[in-house]
Amino acid sequence: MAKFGMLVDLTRCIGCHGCTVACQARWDLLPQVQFTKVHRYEVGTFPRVKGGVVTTQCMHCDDPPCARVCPTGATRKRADGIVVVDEQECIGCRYCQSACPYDARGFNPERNIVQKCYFCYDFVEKGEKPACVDTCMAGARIFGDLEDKGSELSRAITAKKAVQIKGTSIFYVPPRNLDPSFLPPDLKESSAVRIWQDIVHPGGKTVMGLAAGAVVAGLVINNIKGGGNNA
Amino acid sequence: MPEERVERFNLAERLGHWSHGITFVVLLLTGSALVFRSYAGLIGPGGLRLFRSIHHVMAYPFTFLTVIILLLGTPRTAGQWLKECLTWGRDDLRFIAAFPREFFGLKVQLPEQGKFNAGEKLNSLLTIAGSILMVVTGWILLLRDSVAPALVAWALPLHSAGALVMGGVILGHIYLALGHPNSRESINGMLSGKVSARFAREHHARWYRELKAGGNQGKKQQKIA
Repeated sequence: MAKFGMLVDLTRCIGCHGCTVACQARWDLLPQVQFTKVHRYEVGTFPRVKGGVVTTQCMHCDDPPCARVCPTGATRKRADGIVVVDEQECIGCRYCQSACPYDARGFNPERNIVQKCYFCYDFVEKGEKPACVDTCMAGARIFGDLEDKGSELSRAITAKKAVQIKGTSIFYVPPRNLDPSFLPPDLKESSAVRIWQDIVHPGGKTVMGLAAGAVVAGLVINNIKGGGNNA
Repeated sequence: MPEERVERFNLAERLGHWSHGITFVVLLLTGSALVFRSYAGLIGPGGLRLFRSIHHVMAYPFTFLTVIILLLGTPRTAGQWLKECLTWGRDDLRFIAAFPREFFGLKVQLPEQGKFNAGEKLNSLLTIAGSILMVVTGWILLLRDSVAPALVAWALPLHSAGALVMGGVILGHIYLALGHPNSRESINGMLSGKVSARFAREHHARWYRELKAGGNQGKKQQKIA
């Protein structure tokens, strides 16, 4: 089984937004929904300033918080590592949007669903490349199988000394002047999600279960004793 | 032979109670599908989308209707209720300590209570606090595109927690109102507004005495506790 990933060579990226637009065209997205975005940054103080671009998208996390909070299972991680949203099953509760540490999800108010980068899985299955990779005129994006050591992606990661964003399927080749804080951080589930999923839900269900159990026990005892007696 | 009955809740109090109760139950049933996964599976995506619409519509009456009914319909007794809920004496604590035995139908002597017993006061306080929590976090989620993302991120666990705790509270509340042999007479107070004099005497002795002694001098009720 493959494990798909992507490398973005920021030393080559020219910030043309071609990836953003090609992706929107392929997936027929609303203008405000962008699966991949281009951010500009500046460092230094005038007159000694440098600038550059960083692209962001769904990081296809190893243990995606979005899939964990999805109440219908519409968001899930496939065996090939791609995190998908089943748009038929999505009910638009937007839990995933809040859980995503990378702000990689967009809400489609017309269809009332949440969407995000799918690594163009249906095209990839046919052996094609994702739209953003296809269109990148600078050749800054490389898509492929991380488990295949001979893949173009695996070879580029080694040759270009790419930095993996830990816990995700995304690698960057940062320009020399780039402060790492401009790159997306390593995957870390937010404490709100952790408290919500690990404490509130099991704890709250226990509270409701105990209350239901107490009511059933009270009904049973009262029935056995044949009604009130100490009124 | 018709037994004597005394009025416990006027029409506005009852309407206020039921507008809150019904909207809360609908909100709980439509919302908890997002917590209980097997329930969500049962409803399916189409049903859950319908649930969302109902949940969002119900937010309006849940937030405003009961407050409007109580403020316009019966501000004086609503104020007395709030005041009594916030006034706690030694008998109230003794009542709370002894009540679990009563809940399960075991023999116990409960201390004399006013119009609202300590359990009802606790239920009222939990309901008020829980409703404020649900309203505030709920509206943050409804207006999520205009508030800070961190606020949304924390509103989600708080909204879930409030729903589940209040869900537990309402189970006990329904049991005591409908199922518990000693206390189920109290449902009549929320339906017709009247409870039997016997129930009032045995469960709310202090209130019953005030009622008899005060006659039409309703002011005396305020002195309770």
